[in-house]
Amino acid sequence: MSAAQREAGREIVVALAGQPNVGKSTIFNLLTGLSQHVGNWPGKTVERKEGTLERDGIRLRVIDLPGTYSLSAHSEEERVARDYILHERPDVIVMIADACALERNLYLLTELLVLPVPVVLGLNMMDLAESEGIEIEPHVLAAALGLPVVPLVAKRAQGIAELLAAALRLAQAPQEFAPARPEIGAPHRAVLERVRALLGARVPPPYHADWVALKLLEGDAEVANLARAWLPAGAWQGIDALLRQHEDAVLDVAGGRYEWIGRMVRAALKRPRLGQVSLTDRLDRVAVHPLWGMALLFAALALVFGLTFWVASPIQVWLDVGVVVPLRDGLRTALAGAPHWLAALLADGVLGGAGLVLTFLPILVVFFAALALLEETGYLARAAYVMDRFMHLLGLHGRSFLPLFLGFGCNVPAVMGARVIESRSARLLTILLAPLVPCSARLAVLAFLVPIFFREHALAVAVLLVLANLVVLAALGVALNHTLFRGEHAAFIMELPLYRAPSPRGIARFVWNNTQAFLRKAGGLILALSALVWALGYFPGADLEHSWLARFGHGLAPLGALLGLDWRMLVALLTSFVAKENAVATLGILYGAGSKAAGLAGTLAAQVAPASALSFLAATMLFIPCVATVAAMRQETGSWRWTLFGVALLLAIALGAAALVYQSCRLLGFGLSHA
Amino acid sequence: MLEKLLRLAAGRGSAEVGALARALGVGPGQAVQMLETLERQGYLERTGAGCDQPCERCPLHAACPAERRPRLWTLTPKAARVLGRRNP
Repeated sequence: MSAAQREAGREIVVALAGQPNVGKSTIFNLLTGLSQHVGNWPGKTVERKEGTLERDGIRLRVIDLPGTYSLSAHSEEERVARDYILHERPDVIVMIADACALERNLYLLTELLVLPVPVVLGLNMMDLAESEGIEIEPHVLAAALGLPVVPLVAKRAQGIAELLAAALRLAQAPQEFAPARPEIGAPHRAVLERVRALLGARVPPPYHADWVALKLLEGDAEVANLARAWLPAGAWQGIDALLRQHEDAVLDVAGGRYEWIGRMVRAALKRPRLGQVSLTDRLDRVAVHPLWGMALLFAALALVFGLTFWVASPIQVWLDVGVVVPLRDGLRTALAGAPHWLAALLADGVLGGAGLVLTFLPILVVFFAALALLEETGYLARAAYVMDRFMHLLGLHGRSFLPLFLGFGCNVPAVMGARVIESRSARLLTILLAPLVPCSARLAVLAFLVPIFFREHALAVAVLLVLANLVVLAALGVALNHTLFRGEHAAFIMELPLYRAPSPRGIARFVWNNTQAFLRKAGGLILALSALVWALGYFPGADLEHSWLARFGHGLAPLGALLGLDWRMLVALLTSFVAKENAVATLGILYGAGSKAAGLAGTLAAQVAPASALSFLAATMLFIPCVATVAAMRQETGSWRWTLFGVALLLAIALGAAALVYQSCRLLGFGLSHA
Repeated sequence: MLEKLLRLAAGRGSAEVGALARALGVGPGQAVQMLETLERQGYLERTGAGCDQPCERCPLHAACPAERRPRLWTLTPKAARVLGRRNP
């Protein structure tokens, strides 16, 4: 009956098309009410919705097509939508577009317009667009497109009657449909004509030769298979050779569509005025600016350290002096009757090491909270992008960017992340450079030690140390890139996330995850190493200066003299190989053992000259990475040779930088006396 | 316009979608759509940090500061070949 009705003009088939989330279902429900039938498209898992309504004595059958971004057969939804239009030939297509994202929505229209069915455009969410400062002039757009355009607010049923009337009019007078169709870019217009000519009259209905030729140039595999079946072998080979020769034709086919969209949008859409530009756009004008972006990055870095020093350091000092020292003294008193080695192990080894590292907690909590704040707001991605300009100077592969970015959290994922880089030389370069990205453990050690030695200058010293670290990374990158590896300057494009208000829950989760991981490490690895360092510093008896550790440390005296570090600091540096936080634990055991009420901070400030402290911090920042990172380097390079090369290189750089710092201070007469 | 986008990206070393959109005179949404078109056609390739598994199952999850990872594309050899050939 329906075919006969359609023939007699008493039934009109309306196909409802649009991208996902444009309010198409709301409009379908408003049009068809309860007279809906829901099933699946034949042989597909895609839902098919159909409904009917009567208007002016005409029955309208409305088919809700799956939401699609284009009709290029990249997904089942796209195939269903285009097959339906081609095979069933609805009388009219009503395309719904989101007025807030008109540009993005018009691409689907460019594809619908090359099909032999008239189209009406419904602009939904006009109220939202208006509130966002986007002004669209529907009549201007209609004139530019050459088809009816109806403004809609579907959630309030506004414009639905007009939309229906426009669809009915066009379905009844399809000959009046004369849209401005997009053209393909000039370089391939002649090629399109040649493909069209080679197809000749061999394209069977319901396909249209113009559409088939366009799809072939776009590289549509499904249409290519159909054409191969329709054409004699010789004709197909001619087309195939032409398509191979012009594999880049899609740049002109799709490029032409985007040019067309640009023209339409320029004609009918007033972009938000300057004062209404989105917050993200406004902030990004500064945040990703080559100069201001870098300045903002330094400011953000200073803020992170500033917050850590001002908020956490006083709590940390109080915990050290007010909790760890009295606890240690209390434990010694309680264990007065126990063997001396046992009391010393528990008081100095366990509490002096892991206990001291636990006083890191306020620093870690504030540091991770500040980092999470930057991450949550979306700024960290900008910081990484700004940093990338700098990395590009190193000739790093575009893909090196994310692995190195991850290095700020931990060097292990940075090294592991390098596996996404296909080129072996670029991968090796990234793996060798990743340990020079200051990880959160190293930054926490920095945050702990810098205020002890540099008090009111702590912030400036910390920021300078991090910057110097990055400069060393850059210099090594440039050097390796021009010697061992031939740099590949692969370009990359980054989509930055929108800025958003930080969620307290997100920050709390980040802080908790990281603090928990640290506590697990402090509870196992650091505790065990603290006990070992204590034992080596306690036995064979007498005092610390005659211990096994001291004997080993004294063996390194010539190196220590060059770096301005006494044997205890050298040992602390060596133990940081197991985990970076061990540097503080070891200092706690070796310097804190003799201290009374002053705590580690007071003892270190009194015994270590600022020049030596600066040398120690420079070495710590650049030192060979922790054992987990070295293991990851071995795994990812698959070579002990490269792993050991990386370790030796970093060792040489760290010791060289420390020597340079200390000897420069000596020459300048800076910071040679204790506080 | 797609060729212009590819050339802009190739010439800058690294490019941010907003800056590309401004250079082309289009909105960021359309710039992303164009990038997705180029990705489907094999001119761009999405790149990640080697994380094929969801963050929740990753043992390094706690140490990773980049849960809201930005989307990254790199130019493919096909893009370089085609741009070289179309170079006027």
